[in-house]
Amino acid sequence: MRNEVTDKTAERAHRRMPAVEIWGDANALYLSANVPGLAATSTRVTIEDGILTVRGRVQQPEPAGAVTECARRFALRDPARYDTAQISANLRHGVLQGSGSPSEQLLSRATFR
Amino acid sequence: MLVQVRPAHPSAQIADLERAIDGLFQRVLRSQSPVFSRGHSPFALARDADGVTLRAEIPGVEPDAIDIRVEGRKLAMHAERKPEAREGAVQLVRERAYGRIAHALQLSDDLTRTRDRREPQRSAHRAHTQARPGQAAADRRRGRLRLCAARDMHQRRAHHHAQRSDR
Repeated sequence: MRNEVTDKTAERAHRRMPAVEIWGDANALYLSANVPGLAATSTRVTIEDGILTVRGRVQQPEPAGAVTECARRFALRDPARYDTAQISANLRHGVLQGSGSPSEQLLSRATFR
Repeated sequence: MLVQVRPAHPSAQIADLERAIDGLFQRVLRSQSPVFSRGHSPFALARDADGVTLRAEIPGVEPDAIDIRVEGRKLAMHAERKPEAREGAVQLVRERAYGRIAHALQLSDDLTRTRDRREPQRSAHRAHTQARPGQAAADRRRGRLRLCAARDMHQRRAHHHAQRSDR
């Protein structure tokens, strides 16, 4: 379980890289990310090609209309354990919390709405 | 958390505030995780025609749990971010910081507190602290923190005393 996830976030100048925490047990992975200012409608939590991705857009107050992309990517050692249909996520007080449950189903994509 | 400070005379007061905020940036950046600090500051200062606006981001703290108070010339913010309990789970990545959060700003002499407000916006915690030159009327919005110029307050007090002595 200790090597279950590996940070694969590529640093880019225009990106914010939110601090995250990930836990795992026999039943699920749990993720919390500091994403203050993130718009819920733009937030995506996906597992594709073995990569767990958290991505969203933060509207900046200055200059008007400026948007900063916010993203983290983690490689899963055993992605087949997780079913994206079982991914849940919520955004509360600037913290995104998501969890994915193990499944034998094919991994595709989950969208946070 | 959004804190707006609008001094009566922007030039000297903005300079004082900017110096205080520079120090605040350094303290906060040192206390944040390296990942979160990379390319982003949780505090931002913006200037407009009326004054300055300080925006602070404190994710993971209930708005009502953020204590904002003005004591003398000091605007102090206190909060505590508590670790999440995950019984039976193994922690694989740990980057978020926990514990007490305390920030303080030194205000100029002619700013004082009348009311406060905390509100969540887009999942960030924001609060307003305002002082507008020449504005004496109370802001009726719930829990709003407003800072008025002392000169205005003195004028109001002088006006109040004048009214009382007229009775």
